[in-house]
Amino acid sequence: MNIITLNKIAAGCKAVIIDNNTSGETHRRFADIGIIKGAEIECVGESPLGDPVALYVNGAVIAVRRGDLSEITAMVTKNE
Amino acid sequence: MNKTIGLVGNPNVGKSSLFNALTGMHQHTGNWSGKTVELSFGRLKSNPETKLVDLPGTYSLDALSPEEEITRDFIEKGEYSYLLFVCDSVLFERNLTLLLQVLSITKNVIVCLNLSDEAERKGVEINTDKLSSLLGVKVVKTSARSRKSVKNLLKVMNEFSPITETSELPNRETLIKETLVSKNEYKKSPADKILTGKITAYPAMLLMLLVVFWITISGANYPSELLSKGFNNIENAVYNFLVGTNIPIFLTELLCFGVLRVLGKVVSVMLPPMAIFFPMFTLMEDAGVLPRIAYNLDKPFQKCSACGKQALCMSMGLGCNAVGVVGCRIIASRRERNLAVLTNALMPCNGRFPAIITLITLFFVGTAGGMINSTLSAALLLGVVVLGVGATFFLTKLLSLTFLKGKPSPFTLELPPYRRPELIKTLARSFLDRTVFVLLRAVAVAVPAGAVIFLLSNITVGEQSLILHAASFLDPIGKIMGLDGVILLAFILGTPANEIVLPLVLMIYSSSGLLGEAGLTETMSLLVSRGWNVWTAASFIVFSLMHWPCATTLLTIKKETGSRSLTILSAVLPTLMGVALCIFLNLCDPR
Repeated sequence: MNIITLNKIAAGCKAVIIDNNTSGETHRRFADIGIIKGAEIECVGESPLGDPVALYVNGAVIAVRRGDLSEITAMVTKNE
Repeated sequence: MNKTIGLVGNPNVGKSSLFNALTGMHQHTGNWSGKTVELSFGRLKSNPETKLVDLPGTYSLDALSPEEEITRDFIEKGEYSYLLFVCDSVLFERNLTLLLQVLSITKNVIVCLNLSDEAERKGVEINTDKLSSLLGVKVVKTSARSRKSVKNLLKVMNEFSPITETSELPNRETLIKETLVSKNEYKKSPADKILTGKITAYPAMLLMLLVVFWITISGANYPSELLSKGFNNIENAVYNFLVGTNIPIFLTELLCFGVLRVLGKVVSVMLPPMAIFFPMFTLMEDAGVLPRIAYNLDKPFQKCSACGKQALCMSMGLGCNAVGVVGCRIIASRRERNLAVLTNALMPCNGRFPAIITLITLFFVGTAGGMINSTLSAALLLGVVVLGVGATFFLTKLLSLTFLKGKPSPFTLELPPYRRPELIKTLARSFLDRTVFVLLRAVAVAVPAGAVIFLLSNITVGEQSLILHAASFLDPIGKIMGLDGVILLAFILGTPANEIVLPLVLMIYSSSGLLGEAGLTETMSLLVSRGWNVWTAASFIVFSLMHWPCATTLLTIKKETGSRSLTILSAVLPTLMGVALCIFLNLCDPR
């Protein structure tokens, strides 16, 4: 059982979101894109400077800042 | 019968391409989120009585940005016959969020499973009949590139009849289970390995920029010369004609040596680079390169409390600052948008390139010509741009600590799959757009500017023309900056169009009273005779990079920010930076 906060995710990891404590604009933006409780996401890369990360979710690749992901907890299902 | 149809969908689904295919109207399409930021209207090619509205792309009707609000309001108001919901077949699941929201408001929808050619290639299969029966609306597979599918869509649109009964909508999971036969798996594109790779990303971006500059510079040379000669001929012809009429000589000279001369300069200097740069930029945009650039540069922008999308506005500013300022609309947060707007002029636009390149050639590289020299010129120009980038980060950080304080907004940016741009179509359309834009602007600017410059040069007070009076007045300030009064005056008079700054300097130096044609050698000897050296050239380049925006840009900034004080800041702050750096350079000059 490998539980992390999503801001710590590394390239190549797959994870399922188990808790989402984002609020306000961040919450809505994430919801639209599909970053919600229960969603399975895969980190397919990170920017050359380490931040933002590229997340494959709902069939699309979205760049997200690590800072915005700190309120989300996920269970890692696959490490790179 | 007057019908209105609205086009709705997520960003990046090819909605605008479909809009173009249906209306035949020329409209720009971009491959990154939020690009279509204004409502576009058109009429169906096949039935001009039917109006088509292309709404800004949105992920959901919860509307977080003004663009998304427009879409939501339009749909809720209901002043349309039906909606065309454009779906990216490859990203079917993601598009369902908005689709289900729209269907809960109205059933008068035709669903277009767009990009169906790409979906097929990627192995994504959707059961259209099942989807249609589950949702209770017509579903059509489309691909904007396939004329047959567009014809088919038009047929379905013609046969549309309003749906009044409202049946229960299935939930998302059921829909996906029943209709998505096979989905695509993520595959990392080799291009991304280079463009966003840890070691290769920044060099790759610099290289791309270098290539763009090199093509712009080499490609623009000959056409600029041709245009210059052409305008010369027009000017002579008009002069000879008018001289034979009853029009007073003063007016003739004002028109020919003032207005036409400046018009010719602006167009011949500005048009070729712009006509090359923007089409290339558009190609990169259509291919999907630009979001990667914002992605790579977001971290430093984060540190300045700004947003990675600012990098895209800066890239546009390299072509034309006014265009760059308008492009800042892709930034949803007002504060971050203003940061991008106020710093855009620190990116040297195509109008400033020629003067910078001329001085680089004369004082730093040499006039020998050839491959090595032109590469060196492009590299030094790149260096100037990098300096501009550094200045942008500095000013952004400064503004975010003072006038534009606030919380950073959440940053999400879609990295769409790379697409093969429609080369000929894009180049042709962008080329025409740019050409028209430049010509219009040149006329609007040249007429007043040319008249003013002519008057100032030919009205004398005492022994000197007004222009020389003004130059001597500015001389003390100029000298502290390693420049002189003439150069400063030229920058001021060049506010309507940066293209005329260097020509103005030469004109005043040669006291010919006319903007003339000068070859490189004559230019060099003229400058040197007025005390120019490497340091003067360096100060000129620095000030060209960091001074108030041109008139068109200032007007655009006022329009986009709606604030007079922000517009004033956009003029004052870069100028202060430029003055400071020039003074510093002057102190370094051992002379």
